[in-house]
Amino acid sequence: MSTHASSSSGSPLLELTGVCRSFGGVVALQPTTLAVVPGEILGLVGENGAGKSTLIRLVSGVLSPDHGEISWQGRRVALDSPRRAIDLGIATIHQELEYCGHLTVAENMLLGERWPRRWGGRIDWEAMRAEAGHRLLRAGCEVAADVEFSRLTAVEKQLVAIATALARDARLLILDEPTASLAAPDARRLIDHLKTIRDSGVAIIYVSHRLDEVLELSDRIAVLRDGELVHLSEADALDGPDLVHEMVGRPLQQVFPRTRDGSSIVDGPSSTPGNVLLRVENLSRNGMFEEVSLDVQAGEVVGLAGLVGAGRSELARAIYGLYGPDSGTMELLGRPWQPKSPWDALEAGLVYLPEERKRHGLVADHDVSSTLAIGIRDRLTRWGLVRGAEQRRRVAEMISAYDIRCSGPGQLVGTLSGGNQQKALLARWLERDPRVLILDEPTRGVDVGAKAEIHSVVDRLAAAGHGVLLISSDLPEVVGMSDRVLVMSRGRLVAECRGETQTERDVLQAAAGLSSTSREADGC
Amino acid sequence: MLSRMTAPVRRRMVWLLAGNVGLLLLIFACLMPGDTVPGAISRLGTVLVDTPRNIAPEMLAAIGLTAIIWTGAIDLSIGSVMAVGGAVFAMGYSHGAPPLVCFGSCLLAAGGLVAGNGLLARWLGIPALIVTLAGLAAYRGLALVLVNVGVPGFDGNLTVPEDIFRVPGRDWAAWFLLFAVGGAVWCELFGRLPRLWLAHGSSPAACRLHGLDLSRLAFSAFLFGGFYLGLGATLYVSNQQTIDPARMALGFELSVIAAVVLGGTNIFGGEGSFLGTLLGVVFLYLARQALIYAFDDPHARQAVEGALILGVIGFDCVLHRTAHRMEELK
Repeated sequence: MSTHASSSSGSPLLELTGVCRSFGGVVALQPTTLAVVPGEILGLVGENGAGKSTLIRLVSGVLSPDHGEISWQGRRVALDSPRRAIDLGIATIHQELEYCGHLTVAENMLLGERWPRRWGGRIDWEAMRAEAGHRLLRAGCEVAADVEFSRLTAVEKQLVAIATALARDARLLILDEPTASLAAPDARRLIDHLKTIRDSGVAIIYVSHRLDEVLELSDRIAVLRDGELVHLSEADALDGPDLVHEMVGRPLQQVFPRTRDGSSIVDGPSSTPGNVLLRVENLSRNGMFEEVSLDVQAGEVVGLAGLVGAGRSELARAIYGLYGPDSGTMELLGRPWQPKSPWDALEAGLVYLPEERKRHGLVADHDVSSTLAIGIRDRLTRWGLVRGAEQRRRVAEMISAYDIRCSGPGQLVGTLSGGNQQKALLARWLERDPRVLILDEPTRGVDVGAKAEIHSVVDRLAAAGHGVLLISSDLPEVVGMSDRVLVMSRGRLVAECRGETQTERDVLQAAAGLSSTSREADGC
Repeated sequence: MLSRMTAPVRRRMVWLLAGNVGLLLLIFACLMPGDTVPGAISRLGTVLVDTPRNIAPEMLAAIGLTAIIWTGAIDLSIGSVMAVGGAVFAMGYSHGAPPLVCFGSCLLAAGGLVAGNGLLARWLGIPALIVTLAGLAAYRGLALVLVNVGVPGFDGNLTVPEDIFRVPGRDWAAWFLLFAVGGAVWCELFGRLPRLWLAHGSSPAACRLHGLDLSRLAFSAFLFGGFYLGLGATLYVSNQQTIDPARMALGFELSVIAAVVLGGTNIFGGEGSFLGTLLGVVFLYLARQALIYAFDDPHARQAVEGALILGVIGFDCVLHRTAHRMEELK
């Protein structure tokens, strides 16, 4: 934990006073008052949907506040565009860096500026390299200026982005999940670098789900929950469990009533040997996940938790057959499982609900009927022709059974609400009567009512003897719905939480890479 | 310059250089049977001497299109644009305008239309692909309307017998080519704009974050492309004895795009080199010459050439996808 002397001392560089923002009547950020002083690192943490992104976007000029004031070095300012924020000295480095991969580091750094020239208007490449090299050196970044940008490692790209920002006299750096895609040594290198920058007087707002990093790096920590600033203190005053408690902030049963106990785990005819439907042994794929072993039993919901980039979706796609693993073995319904394509999975009784519903799950311009029928197209065709009457009958049944609220089978699926789109996707696959379901963020972006209905469907599926692998970043959901929760971090399975010790705190601690001692002590 | 090129472009250039040498040897081998070595060398020399004249229009159009493709855009209407250039030339000629005026108006008409495509894409906010796909049909029609209305007694084609009109495309083609290609390579070596066009094609979002005006950048590429395509149209017209806007430069865009992509320019933008385009045009030209000796049937030659072009573009798409996947994996 940092003990930096200048924390919360001196006159504020940035001050937010009563700043709030709503979207269509939904409050994303309640009136918030917060200040950042030069030479401090302010850790900003909170669950998904807590309001962190909204706060960052307000400070970086992407959004304007509904109410409240923003002051920069004591003067009230209107941050009405990203350009304005950059001009003032506020640099935001997003998790997904934007750069021109085929240009050199020097060209990327000086992209929007005047390039040095020689007589005749010729670009002075030497001077340009020297200037970029000087800037990199000043920022303590050991990267060659004439290298193609795409050849840099992830951490080098981050460092160059920081050097570029500092070269433009940034006084406040906002870093959004900068270590999400970095391996541990690279993350360490970046953290050390940020400490040096902080010591030079630059203020940093550090947003991360990796609480160990936040605790180590920050001088102060602000916790957002449900759009409200619920905690702001010196980092020294907090430890890991305190921080998790502040982030979660309420008993689990109040936000997620458990509707099912674990008694539905059954021995069915398809569950031989034992009652394991899906078994994964030491599965690895380079750069995605390593040595993952898990099993899903009949009648069981297995939660798979972890931070963004932990490798959960990548693992699910490998099981589904979108790409093969480099090593390891899989078994489905007691038989060796080596899918060549997703079609093999569908044939074998394994379905996958993708994380990005709109991009990978739906064709927005298709109607509800086509969307539902495509999952069972092989059962609706004879001699290559669709049996129209049979399709209409089956679609009507599905709309009714899964309570898909639409004006009729002809309504475009893209015009349905998020929850009904998701129910349509679920219905499409459930009509195949799969034995194993992999649900990747099934309730992301859906309203509370639809969420409850989807939870109910998952609950019924498990009760009927199906096996469900539930991937979710929604901690209450993954803890509340699952019979046990597996936690992934940086491509590896790091913990299994079950029974009474299956709590949001334990899962979050494991996912954030905090020491396993406390989890083991708690029985996780 | 080489150090600023990406590794795939550099590799492609080495491969093209070797391919061009190989094609020359193949042509030489085809010329050998029934001839002495000095005779074959002499015939090969004739092929080489004719090369600048034969490739000049395609080379200039390819350089212009390279700049446009770098930004992530494309111009599919260049064959029809050349037909409009030819029609304007024919109008001037039929009304007794001096050669300079005829060529100048051809250059301005063709170049103006390409630049206009850029403006239309910018103002309408729709992809250049759509704008120029529409232009493909519209400009061909415009060319025919112009000759029907503006050339008295036009009966399908217009013969230009005077040698003076063939001087730029025949006698001066090598010089035009030298200066135009030299200018483009100079720009690539020392200019900022080509690098910004590449940046635009590589990541528009990054350019926007650095405060660059994307639509202005894209338009400047179309302006550059328009100038080179106008020059190419002028040399093309000047090299013909008859002007036939209905068939003039028909399918020209396909072979130009193939040459550009073959030269290492990424069809989706952000990567490439004028030097690579130069080598790509030469490669396709030499391949065509080799096909002349390999196949008697012109239709078979056309089929093989089409397959070659399709293969090249398909190969580039596969390479691009592989690279993209590798990037995702990283």
